[in-house]
Amino acid sequence: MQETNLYRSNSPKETEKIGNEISKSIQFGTSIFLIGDLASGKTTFTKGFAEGLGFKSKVQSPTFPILNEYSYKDKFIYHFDLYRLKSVSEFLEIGGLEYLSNKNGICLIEWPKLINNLDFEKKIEIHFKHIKEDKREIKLSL
Amino acid sequence: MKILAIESSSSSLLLGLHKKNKFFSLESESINNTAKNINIMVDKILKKSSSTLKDLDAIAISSGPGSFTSLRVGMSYAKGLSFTLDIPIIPVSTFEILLFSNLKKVKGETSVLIYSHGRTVYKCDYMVKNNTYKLINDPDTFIIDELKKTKNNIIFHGRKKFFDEFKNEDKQNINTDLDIKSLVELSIKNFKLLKTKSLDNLSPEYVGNFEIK
Repeated sequence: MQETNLYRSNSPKETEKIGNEISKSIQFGTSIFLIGDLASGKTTFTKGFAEGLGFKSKVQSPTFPILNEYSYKDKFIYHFDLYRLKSVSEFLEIGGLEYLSNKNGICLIEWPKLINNLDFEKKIEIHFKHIKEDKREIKLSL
Repeated sequence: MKILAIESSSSSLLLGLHKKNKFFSLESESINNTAKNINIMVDKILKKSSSTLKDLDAIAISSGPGSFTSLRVGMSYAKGLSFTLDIPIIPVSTFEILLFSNLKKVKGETSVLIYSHGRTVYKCDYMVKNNTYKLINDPDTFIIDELKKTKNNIIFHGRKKFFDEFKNEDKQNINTDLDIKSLVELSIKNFKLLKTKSLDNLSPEYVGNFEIK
């Protein structure tokens, strides 16, 4: 059974708002795949998502560092970008499994194709589609 | 004989020290902090047992499987000590530690399971007879659902939520934590049998083929 929700965004601000909204229905311990092309709103979405859960840090793109970690009280958000990784073992070497199985953390993973075959406890996919200029389509499937 | 035992295969770090029939232990207060805690805790346990690093005769280490990063941290620390102090390392399989601490409760074929991630567990089977045990097959990874119909006793380490899925009524189902005393006892036994390893060919037992094509 797959449930999908479709959101439409007309500006980065709206994308943030959608992230903010969705964050409230996600449990800690979940992994979220963010799938979409460059500049389709993945990081902007994460910004809103972190805000929605009360995180105060400034969210930046993890493309260069591969992983950005944000903490608030005893909770964590792990924002991955696997674009530059070449194999699953590279993901394991940076402690990937420990992050994924942290009950107090949510993993948001950009370019997750590499670890698609791993076994996840709870996994949600969010697809981002660039329509035109500032218009984006965001599809969430549970 | 003095042995320092390091159990770093799960998210919290356990240390044990055996000194002339006395046993000392220490558990980390925070989880997922092995790299930060290990130096401080080793200092603490040495103080507690009023000994120094130079007194040690060997280092025992739980060699996995378990948390990938934590195993690496523990193993590199043990190797560092072993190299500088010129004393042997005694690697003990984490499966064996879990089995040994529950040995009196089981009889016959027994599966030792260690939770990994998602719904994946590491499994290793032993035959238990008269308080001794024999390895039946090599460790491997399995999805929990594949194992539910098993006719073996189960010794499970990890999240309780997943242990509760096993309902094998006529066999023993045991949910257990890692016991540092078992590691110490096993390592004393192995030390006497000269089951130590040189640094060069020693690495954690990660188990499972993670190269997914």
